[in-house]
Amino acid sequence: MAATPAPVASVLDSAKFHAGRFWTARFSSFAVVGLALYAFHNFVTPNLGIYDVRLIVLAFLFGTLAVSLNLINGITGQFSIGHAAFYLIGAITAGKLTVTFYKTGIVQMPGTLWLLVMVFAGAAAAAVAGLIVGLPSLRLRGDYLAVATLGFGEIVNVIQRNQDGGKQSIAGLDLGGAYGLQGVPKLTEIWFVLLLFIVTVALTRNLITCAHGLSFLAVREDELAADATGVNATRTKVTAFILGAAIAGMAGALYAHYNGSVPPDDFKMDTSFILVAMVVIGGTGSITGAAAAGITLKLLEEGLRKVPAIPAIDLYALILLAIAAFAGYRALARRRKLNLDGKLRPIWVTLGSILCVFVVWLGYKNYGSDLSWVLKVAAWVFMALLLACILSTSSRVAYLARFGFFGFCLALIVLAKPLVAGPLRGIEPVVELVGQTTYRAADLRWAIFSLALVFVMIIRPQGVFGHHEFSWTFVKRFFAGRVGEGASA
Amino acid sequence: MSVLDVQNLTIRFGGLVAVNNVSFQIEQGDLFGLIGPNGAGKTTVFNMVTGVYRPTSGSVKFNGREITGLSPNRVAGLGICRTFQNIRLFSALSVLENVVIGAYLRHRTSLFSALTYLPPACKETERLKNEAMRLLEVMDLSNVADARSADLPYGKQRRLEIARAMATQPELLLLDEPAAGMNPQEKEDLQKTVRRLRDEFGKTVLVIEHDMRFVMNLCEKIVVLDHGEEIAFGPPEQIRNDPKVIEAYLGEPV
Amino acid sequence: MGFDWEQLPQQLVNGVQQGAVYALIALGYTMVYGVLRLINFAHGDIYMVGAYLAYYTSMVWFSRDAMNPYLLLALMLLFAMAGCALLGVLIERFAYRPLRNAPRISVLITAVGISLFLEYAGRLVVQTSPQPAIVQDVNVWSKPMHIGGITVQQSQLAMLIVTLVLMTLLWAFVRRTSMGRAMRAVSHDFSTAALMGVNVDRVVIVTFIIGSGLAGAGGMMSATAFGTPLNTFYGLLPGVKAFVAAVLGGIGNIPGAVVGGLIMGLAEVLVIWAGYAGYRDAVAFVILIVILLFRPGGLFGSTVDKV
Repeated sequence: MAATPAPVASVLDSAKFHAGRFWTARFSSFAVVGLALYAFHNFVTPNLGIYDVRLIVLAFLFGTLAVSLNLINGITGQFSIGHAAFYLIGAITAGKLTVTFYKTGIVQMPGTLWLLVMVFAGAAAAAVAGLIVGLPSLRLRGDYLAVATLGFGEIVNVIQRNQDGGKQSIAGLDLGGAYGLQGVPKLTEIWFVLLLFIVTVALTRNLITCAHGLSFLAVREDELAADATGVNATRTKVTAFILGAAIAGMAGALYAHYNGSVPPDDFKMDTSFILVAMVVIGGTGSITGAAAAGITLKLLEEGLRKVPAIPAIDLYALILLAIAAFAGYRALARRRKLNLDGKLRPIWVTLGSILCVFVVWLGYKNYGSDLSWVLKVAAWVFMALLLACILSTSSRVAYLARFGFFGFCLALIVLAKPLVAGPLRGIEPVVELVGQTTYRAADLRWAIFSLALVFVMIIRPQGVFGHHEFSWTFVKRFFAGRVGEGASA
Repeated sequence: MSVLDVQNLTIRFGGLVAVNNVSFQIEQGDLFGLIGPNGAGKTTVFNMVTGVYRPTSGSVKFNGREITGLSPNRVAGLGICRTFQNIRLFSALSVLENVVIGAYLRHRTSLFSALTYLPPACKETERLKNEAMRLLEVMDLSNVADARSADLPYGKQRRLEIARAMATQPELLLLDEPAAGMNPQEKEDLQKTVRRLRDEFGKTVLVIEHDMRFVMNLCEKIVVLDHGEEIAFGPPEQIRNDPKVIEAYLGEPV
Repeated sequence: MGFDWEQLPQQLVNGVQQGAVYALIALGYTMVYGVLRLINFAHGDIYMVGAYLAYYTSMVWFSRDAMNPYLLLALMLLFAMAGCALLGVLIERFAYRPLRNAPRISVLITAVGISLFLEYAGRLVVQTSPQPAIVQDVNVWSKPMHIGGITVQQSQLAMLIVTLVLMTLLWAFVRRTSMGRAMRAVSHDFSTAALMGVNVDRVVIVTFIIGSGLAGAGGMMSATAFGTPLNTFYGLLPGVKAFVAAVLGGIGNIPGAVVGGLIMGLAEVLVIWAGYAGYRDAVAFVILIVILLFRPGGLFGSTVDKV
């Protein structure tokens, strides 16, 4: 912790109000967004394959969902882990209404306009649910609230699964039962999804930048003090639930009309947990963090489906090598034989960085052909941002050294793999046990994802962004803190 | 009409009677002290006045209006604001933001206006920021306005809590052990500050404190509690020499 | 009304059997929460590992024909409990201990991560098809007894007895031994107990050993007695339901967990009996929400929330 108070990236970043500047900024930003979406719709969308579209839609829907959950968990400090329920309610309401009224021709209107109405319908239904879930938050705190929200999420899911118009439905309601609502017309266009994402981020950011938003943060920090200072903590919490739920409902409506159906399996506990993971990894309380984590993790999850299979023995060889490398690093570091903080000669840094690039290129060559260009673009953007962040800090040499070393280890592990895998194949019991098995990445990805989740939580429990939003000050402090003492904030 | 009229306030926790039949009145502009040995029930009285606890019996009237059992944020809205024994700041927020939250009580714009960032919300945010800055200047905290409140030294944190309470534009300020953990110089500064609150800003102040000298120097009327009951009331000179008070603090006379 | 009243006593017995399993898992939840204030979402998966260990012991590692069947059952129980205890300790050491001072939601995510890892990595490891199940004749106590018109399997009785025995042992341990006292101290106030010289790390390890061991026992018993096919998601739903049972009984309260488990088992079976089998999973959560709203401390817990 710093001895003198360090400046916080203040929530009240709002500049002085000036009518002329305000309205120009307003209209020009609307114009820019409108033009961008129009251009995207007319020039980019026609060139996208189905898989690419799926990636973009899901990534930005989950980004929206993560930001909406962040409003409840990160900004207002509540503990809600059943968010998929609101997503589901929005999807099912919109889907059912469309199937009942639009598809049958009872209501005649342009598809996009109807979709807009459905989005609001989904939001309204989810908002009611948000109210129902938010009210118990008056009496429940922390873990208890978490479990109650989880329970609510499951109840909604189970109820939906049982509404198949048959014996166990309530009043014969048919919501598609275990297979989900089918036959929803696919009205969603990509630009709509992007628009929802932009609107969500804008709304949330507006809230935080106003004094009004501070009351949410106050409830998060200390509910008792907030009450004593005149903030109606109860109303604030319920409002947060309603808002977060409504946005999730909108995302749900869009999903229903993209997917053409509302399968209950897409809205299970798993989805809720992934959303919470996105918010926590991004940094609870950070809009940028939640949005970035939502998009990134969803892209990873979908993208990794296509990675080819790996024989079990190769995988074990890689794991053994990784453990050896890690143990070796620890041993060397303990004996102070390895000092990575700026004292390495430039030649090692350069060599290591080149090896890093080589490993990335190797991966690209072997697996890249199958990946959607969306993922490739995203990966390049990510790496460019990372590089820019590193280079803009004063401790860049130390960081380049670290990445260089990391690259060297990676290269070593990958290149040495055949050396270890070969002898492994020679060991009889091993071959007998797993010789024939291949692990498909589709199965592996969850194992890797969960392990990575645990790993990230142990290293940085407050998430990448913590409470803060993205700013260059933050970047400098993030990287500076790591090389020196431990990171705070 | 008294600013605060407490009548026969009693509260039971299970079998334990924490506060028993306490009554006092505070007039406009008083510097009122509430003292007593540890466990006498002083903070419990605060909690009942501000709505954190609901008294088992008795009533609290603020400017003639019954406020017994109202929720804390309503009580704050009516004009009573308190600080806490263990400082409760909004730690991750900056000093300025802490005070703005206090000022927010008197805001007017709607949630919709905030979400869509309409001009009324912008202008009001700026107005509240300015108001908060002014208060910070009064409390001599303007040079750390952007610092994280949890990073401040202890004395400044206490001042910040008072600044935040002041931002709610209260009529009555309840300070719970504001001088705890301060050195003599800081205590003297605090005395001056509290007196300023009354003299310059017209606030009525009720203070819980342990430090006898602090209370005797600052307060004009004092109520003494022991084991939940009121044992003395009056100006400092009278309290100082009251045998029951001496016995409560020091034990039986030799 | 359409209820099959003749079936009711039988269903009640089944409910108790199901409840015994929930009780065993719930004990682990309640103990870990009491000591660490952590909802160990991975606990249900430890139960799953116990079931798999029982399966491997009886169907793969030891030859069924060459062995005394009662000895086999005892070995299954032993392997399941010991293996799960070890797993629990490893998880605590490597995943939960580094996060002692982290925000609660981060620890929650970590627990979820461990749960997912056990499920999916476990699936990779097991990768058997068709799904394994413990063959019925391993369970030598599956012979039914007929008492007053109800068919009670010996194994149902055995399960109930074993559960009660384990619970009594645990109760005695917590009440009578110094380690038990230490556990209670830590669950009251973590930091003060540490300051008073209690070896908190060791208390936590013991808690995980016992809790995970009990879950392993539950896994072994349910896999043996119910004979359902195993997959790595076997423990997910029972785990959550057992958690509800723990909350129902008052989280941190040991007899409460057992009572809660029994209630959960009965409630579930009764819902099925009433004809709403599709809603059986929702029952748990409805109970949970009702309890949280009206008596969050649970049946045996406290209701005071001090300022």
